[in-house]
Amino acid sequence: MLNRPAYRLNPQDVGQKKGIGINVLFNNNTNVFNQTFTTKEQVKSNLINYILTDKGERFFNPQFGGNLRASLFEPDTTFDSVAARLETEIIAFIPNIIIRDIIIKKQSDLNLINLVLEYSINNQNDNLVINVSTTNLSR
Amino acid sequence: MANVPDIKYFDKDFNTLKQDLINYARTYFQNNYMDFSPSAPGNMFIEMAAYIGDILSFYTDTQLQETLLLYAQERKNIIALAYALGYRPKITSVSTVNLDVYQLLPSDGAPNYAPDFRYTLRLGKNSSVKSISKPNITFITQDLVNFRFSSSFDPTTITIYQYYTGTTNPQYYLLKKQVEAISGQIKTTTFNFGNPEQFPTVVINDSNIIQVLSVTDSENNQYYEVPYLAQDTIFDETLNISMNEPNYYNDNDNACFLLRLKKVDRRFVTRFNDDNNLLLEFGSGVTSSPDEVIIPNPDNVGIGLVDGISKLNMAYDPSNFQYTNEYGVAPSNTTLTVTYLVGGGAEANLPSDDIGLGSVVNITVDNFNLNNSILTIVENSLRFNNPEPSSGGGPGETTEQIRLQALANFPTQNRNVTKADYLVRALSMPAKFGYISKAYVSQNYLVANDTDKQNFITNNPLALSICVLSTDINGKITTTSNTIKQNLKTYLSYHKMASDAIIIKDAYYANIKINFDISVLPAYNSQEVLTKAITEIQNYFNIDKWQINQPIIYSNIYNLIGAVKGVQSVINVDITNLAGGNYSPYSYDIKGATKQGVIYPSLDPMIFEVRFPDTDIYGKVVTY
Repeated sequence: MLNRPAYRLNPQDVGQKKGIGINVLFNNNTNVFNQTFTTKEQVKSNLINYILTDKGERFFNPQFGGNLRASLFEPDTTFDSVAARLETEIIAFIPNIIIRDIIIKKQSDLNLINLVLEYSINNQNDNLVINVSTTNLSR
Repeated sequence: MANVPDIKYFDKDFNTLKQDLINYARTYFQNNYMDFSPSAPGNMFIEMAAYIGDILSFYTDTQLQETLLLYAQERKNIIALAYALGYRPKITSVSTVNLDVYQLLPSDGAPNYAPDFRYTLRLGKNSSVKSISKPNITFITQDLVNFRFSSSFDPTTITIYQYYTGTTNPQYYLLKKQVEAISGQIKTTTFNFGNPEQFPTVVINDSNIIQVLSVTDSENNQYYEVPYLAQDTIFDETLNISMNEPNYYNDNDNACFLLRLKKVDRRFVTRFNDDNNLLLEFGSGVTSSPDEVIIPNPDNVGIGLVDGISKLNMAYDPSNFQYTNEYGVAPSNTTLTVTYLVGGGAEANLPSDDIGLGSVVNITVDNFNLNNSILTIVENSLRFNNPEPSSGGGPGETTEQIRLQALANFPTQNRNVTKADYLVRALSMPAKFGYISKAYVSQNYLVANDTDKQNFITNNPLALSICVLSTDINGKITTTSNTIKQNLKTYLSYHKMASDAIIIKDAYYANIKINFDISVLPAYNSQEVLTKAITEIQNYFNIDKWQINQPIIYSNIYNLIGAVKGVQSVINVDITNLAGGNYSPYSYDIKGATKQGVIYPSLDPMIFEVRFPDTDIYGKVVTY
C-alpha cells in the first residue's frame, strides 16, 4: 500500500470562501488591497512583511522585523548568524510554519543581500526569495 | 433592533485602541479579515489607526489640561491664564531700599537765624541714584521728596550743619528725608504707527522689564496704563497746594497729595509673553469724539435699521459699539515714545552706605525770588545714602509661582466684599494721601423717627460704616482730616462693589490713665520690679496693638502685672479718664462703662489710648 501524503487543512481554508488578510502587494488596479483567501497566501505575506521590516520600525513592538537592511554592511560573509537569528525570530512570530532552509548571499559589489527562505505550511512546501539593497527591498 | 455598532468611547491609549479595533474587526468583518497576528500586514493598518487615536487622545487631554490653571504646564498658557484671572506675573524681582536724602538749607539770617524754607527742594519721582561699588546698578526713587513737607509718616529732620564763623548762629541747616527706591534703569524706545488699526500691539524686546513709566505720542499726548482696556479711569495724584485745591490745601501737612480719578481715552494694557518681552496693546477707537456721545443710547442703537414693529425683537450686535473710544484710542500716524524700567536681580542687593553716586535728579523749587548763588549751593548739596542694605532683588517668578499666585489672587479680585476687605483696604491707602491708623467697619444703622412708635435703631442693609482715626506727627491718635477722608473715599471707590454704599465717619478716642498698687516679694528690688511692671503695661497699651471697639479687661492687667517676676500680689488697678488739653476732647464715663471687670467702649465706635505712656501709667509699691 502506497503511503499517501498527509495533508493538513486549516479550518479557515475550507467551507465558504473567506478573506484571511491582505497581501503586501498594494498594487491592485481596482482595489487598494489584495485580499488573501488561503493560509498559505497569508503566511507568505506575513513573512515578507516581517523580513522587510526593520527593528524599531513598528510602534510599540521594537523587536519586530528581520532587520536585514542593518546587515548589509556586516563583515560576516557567510551570514550564518543572521540566518540563525532569522530562523529563531520567524518561528517566534509565525509559529505555524516549518523552516527548512535559509540561504543568505551577499553581493558586495552591488551592496545587495539575496535571501532564499524555504519553508512549509500545512505540509505544503513553499519558498520566498527577497533581495535587500541599500536603496530598495524587493522580492 | 437596529444594528448599532458597539463603539468604545473610553479608550485612550494605543494598546486599548488597538485591541478594540481588533475586536471590532472580529465582530463586524469576520468574513473579510481574520489574521490578527503581529506579522500580518493588516495589523500595520490597525496599529496606525490606534496610533492616530492615541495622538488625538493626547492632544485632547493636553488641550483640556492647558485650559485649567491648576494643571497647565506650558509657561505661555500659565501666564495667559494668570492674566485672565487678574494676576500680573513678575518676571524680575527688584531690590528695594530706603534712601536718606539730604540737602543744605540756609538760615534766614538775623535776628532769628531760623531755617529758610523757601530754599527747600522737591525731587521728582523716578530720580535715579547709582551704586558706588557697582556703578552700572541704579536705583529709582518711588515718590516725590518734598523737603518742605513733614509729618509722622514722612518726617523731615533738621539739624544745624554749619555756624557763621566765630558765632553760634546757624548759617546752614541739614535737612534729611527718606524715600523708597527700587533697583532699575530707565530706558526708552519708539514705535511708529501708520494707518488706524484696531487694537494695535507693539512688543518691547528687552529683558527684566519691570514696568512702563510713560508713553507719549508725537503730539505729546500721554497714554496711560490700565489693568483692562475696558477700564477708562486711573488714579491721579496731585499736589495738595492751594493752586490745585483751594478747599483742602490747609490739610497738606497730613495729606500732601490729593487722590482723584481721571478718565483717560488714551490708554493701553501690558502683558508679558512667554519669552518675557512686554507687549503693549492699545484700544480700537479711531474717532476723536468723546466717549459720552458714542456709548449706546436709544438714539443711536439700531441706526440704519428700518423702524417698525419688526424692530421690536431685532438682535443688535453689541460689538457695534466696540469700535469707539470705549476701549481707548488707537494711536495712528504718530510715533510713540515708550519709557520703561528694567532691572532687578540678586546683583542689585547692595550693602549699606553704597548708593549715592552721580544722581540724575529732577529738582524743582518754588519761585520765591531766591538768591541764585545760595540756590546753587543748596542744589549742589543734595546727597543720597542707604543706611540699610538693599534687599529683595532676585529672579522673577517661576512658572509654578505664577500659578500659585494667580490662584491666590483670584478669590479677592482686588475687590472689597467683606468687612475685613474694607478694613484692610482702608489701612493700606498710601501714606502720601494721608495716614489711616485705625479703621473699624460695621453695618450702618439708621435711627428712624416714627410718630406712632418710639424711636428705634435698625440695621441699614444698604450701607457700611467705616469709622477712621489718624495719628499726628507724634504718633498720637487724632481725628482724621477732611482731606484724608476725601482721599479715602476716592481710594475705596475704586475697589467697592457698585451696589455698596460706604459712610466714612470719625471714630472717637478716649484717653485713660492707669494707677496700680503692687506688693513685692522680700528678696526683690522694689524699684526694679515696679519698672518692669510699668513696662509690661506700656507694651500692653501700645496703640499699635489696639483696635477700635476693643474693651479693656481688668483681669488681663492683673494677670500681666502679677506675672512680672518679683510681684507678690497686685493690690489694685484703677483706670480713669483723661480729657481736654493735650488729651482727647471726648470724655468718657469709665465707671459707668465698667461691667463685671470689663470696661466696654461706647456704642459709637471708639478706641482707648494711653496717650503719654511715660506719665499716664503710674504704679506704686505698697509695703506693710
